[in-house]
Amino acid sequence: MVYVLVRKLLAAVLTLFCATLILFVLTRLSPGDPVKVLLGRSAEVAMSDTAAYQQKADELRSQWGLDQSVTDQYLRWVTGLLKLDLGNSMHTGRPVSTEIAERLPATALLAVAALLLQLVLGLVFGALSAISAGKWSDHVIRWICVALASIPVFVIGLVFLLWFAVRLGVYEISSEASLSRLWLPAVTLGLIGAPQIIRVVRANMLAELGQLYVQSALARGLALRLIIRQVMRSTLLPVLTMASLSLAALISGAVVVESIFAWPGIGKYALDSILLKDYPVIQGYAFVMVTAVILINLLTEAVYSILDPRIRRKGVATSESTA
Amino acid sequence: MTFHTRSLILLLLATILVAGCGNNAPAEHPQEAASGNVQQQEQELIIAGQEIAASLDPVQPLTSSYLRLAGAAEALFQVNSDGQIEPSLAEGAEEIDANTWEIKLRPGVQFWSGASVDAAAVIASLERSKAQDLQAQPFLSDLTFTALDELTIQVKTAGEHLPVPLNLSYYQTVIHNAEASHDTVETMDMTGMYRVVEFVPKQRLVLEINENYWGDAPTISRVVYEEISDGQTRALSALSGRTHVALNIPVTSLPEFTGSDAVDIVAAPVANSQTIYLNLNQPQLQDVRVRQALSWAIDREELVLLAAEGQSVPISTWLSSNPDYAEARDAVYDRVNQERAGQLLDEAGWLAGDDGLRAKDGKVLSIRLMTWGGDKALGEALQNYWSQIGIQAQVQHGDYSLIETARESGDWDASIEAWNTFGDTYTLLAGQYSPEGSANYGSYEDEQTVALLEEMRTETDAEAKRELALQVNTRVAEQAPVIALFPRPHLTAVSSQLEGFKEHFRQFENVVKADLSLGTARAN
Repeated sequence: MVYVLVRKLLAAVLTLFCATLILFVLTRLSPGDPVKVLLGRSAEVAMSDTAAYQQKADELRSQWGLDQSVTDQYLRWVTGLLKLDLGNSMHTGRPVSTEIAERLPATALLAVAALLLQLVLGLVFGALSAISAGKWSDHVIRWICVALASIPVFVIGLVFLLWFAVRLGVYEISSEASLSRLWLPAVTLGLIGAPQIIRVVRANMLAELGQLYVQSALARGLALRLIIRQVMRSTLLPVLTMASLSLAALISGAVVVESIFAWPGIGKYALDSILLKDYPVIQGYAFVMVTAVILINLLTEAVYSILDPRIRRKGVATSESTA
Repeated sequence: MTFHTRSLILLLLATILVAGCGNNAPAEHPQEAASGNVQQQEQELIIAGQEIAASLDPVQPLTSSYLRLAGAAEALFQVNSDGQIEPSLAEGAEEIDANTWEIKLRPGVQFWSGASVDAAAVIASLERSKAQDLQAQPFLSDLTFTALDELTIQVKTAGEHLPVPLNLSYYQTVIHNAEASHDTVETMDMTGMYRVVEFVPKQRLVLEINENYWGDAPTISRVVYEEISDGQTRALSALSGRTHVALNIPVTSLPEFTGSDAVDIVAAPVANSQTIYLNLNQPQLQDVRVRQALSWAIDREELVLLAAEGQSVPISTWLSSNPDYAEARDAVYDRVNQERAGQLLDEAGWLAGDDGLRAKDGKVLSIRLMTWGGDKALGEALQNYWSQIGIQAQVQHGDYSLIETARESGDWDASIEAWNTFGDTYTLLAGQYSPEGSANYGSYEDEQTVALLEEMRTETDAEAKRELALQVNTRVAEQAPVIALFPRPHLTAVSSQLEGFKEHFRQFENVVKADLSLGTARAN
């Protein structure tokens, strides 16, 4: 078991290292010059003295180390990472770690609320759809799932804002993250993500309901509620996979939803920074998100092994055979 | 976990969600809610913008215009809505001779900290801006400041008859305490009627009345400036009745405001020109007849409807978006003339083939127009006009960085931008059309234009200078290194609750004024 854990951790570190390399290269390959973005965005009057502009641009490049070789820049960044220093934002001058830490709670709150809603909707309607397979309720649920999966998230978000903020006046459009502003973006994300879980639950339950032991239990007159409980337990693992993937996606930033609802989370922060070519922020954000995804996956695997003894045994068996 | 425990957890979650849903229901109707807010929040003005100040230091990029907009910062002079220069922190200015001005400061003015705004403090502020803010250099680099006494500043200019009050009216020259560090709300020190009490980067700026303000005290006690980056959401925020001023409303949101009495759309004419910049290094665009044909082919009247929802006016010369030069709007290309465009292309040797496309020496006449931001519809309309005269036109819409990268590599034909046309006309025109101009993207180099610009630079008579500016403007339109289309619309949604809001052609820095007040919303 210890061997498995060490192996997983080493793999995680290797993944993280590869991710830093890819992230850095991709950031540097993307078009646009952060210095020009910073100097050019607020230009009021075009200058006839381009030498002064160039001089200032060179000063900024030197200040941010952009005049060094890409290898040196990468090594400097990785050295900073080892000291838990993500650098400073080019635009605000503040530490990236501080800015991420300020926004992460808002995103985490939204992600957890949305995930809970996805799970509740997914389990309830997935089970309902499976139990009533072929009936009108199954068709309605499946049709709604297709519709929700087909409509772009920004359309749903804007329609919700129009209704709840403008027509009904029960939602406040502001730039704050508060519990009273949480429900609408959470519902939007919940509705967008729920169809996938509904489908997984339905498919797995249908497969399980066709098993011999279920048929046998039904024939022996076992209560349907107890059978469904048993079947639901068997569908838990794929749902857990879906939930972990969904959580990773939500944590790494529901960019569109955060932007539409002016929710000051990490996704909106990343989007703004990408548009501003703020290299330290883009790299820092991506690094934190890769770390979060790796941790979520590790956690999921741990929960898997707790829920399913076969996986635990397989891991031990593999380690034993390798040893 | 028993069934009952699970049920209890589910019930708890449902309660939290329901509580969240009902927590901030202000009233049955948005207008009633908004009206109630006036009483409850003691006159809190809420402004929503696409972006917020990047920092609290006015010499940092993307900062001073937001501080001025919110009533936190002031310059020595200001531009009124008629384009006239008015004193602000300065009491007045007098031109002593061709190279000397004297500026009198208002007595008794203090920074938020209580420090005196005297000649030494003002000079220190301007010198700091000159040294640290690249955007301030066009206005300050030719000026030398000396304190004559506590309230008098002598300004020596590098050139003759420079428009010193105009230069010192730009937001890049706002007066701040140069000795303060300007890194937190506690340490920043400015002069405006409101002082910043809270700043959350990329989210919110909160201001309250500066009790030591030298001018009329504002009636609204608190200002909240929020960043709502999505344009549609800003529009909905205004329509919901919460936001009193929503800046930069996208033209595509205009239909949502139809029939709303609770929100007014303010579309003051803006002094900037939506312009196509052509790359004169491309072989097909080196011929002036081709460039002129591109301009003649455009139906600007229709373009304003298609790409700006009718919220602008057509212009055919670059400078004519400046209200002072409005007479030059149709100075060269007075109407759409596709026949003339076709003739010019024929004369240039680009002849139409069986497929309708024009070609010369076996090469099809093509142009790739790069657009960004909200200009996709504009690009597609232009593509249509150029296709009608046999040009193979393509539109490439994307991030601005793609245009920048293409310009650096030289791999571009045309792109769209809008530059400010208000200010010292020589500086503006030289920045665009002199060979060294930073906005001369297409490498336009014309002897006659350069000579006219040089005449402008040395001309001391204001009327003669204006005449020269018009000549440069016409010459550039004829040579067509750029194609002017219309002033970019700047739409602001203003709640009918808000009284005293003034339209301004530089609305982005003119929102909060002392005489603003919040009343009752009109019934919808």
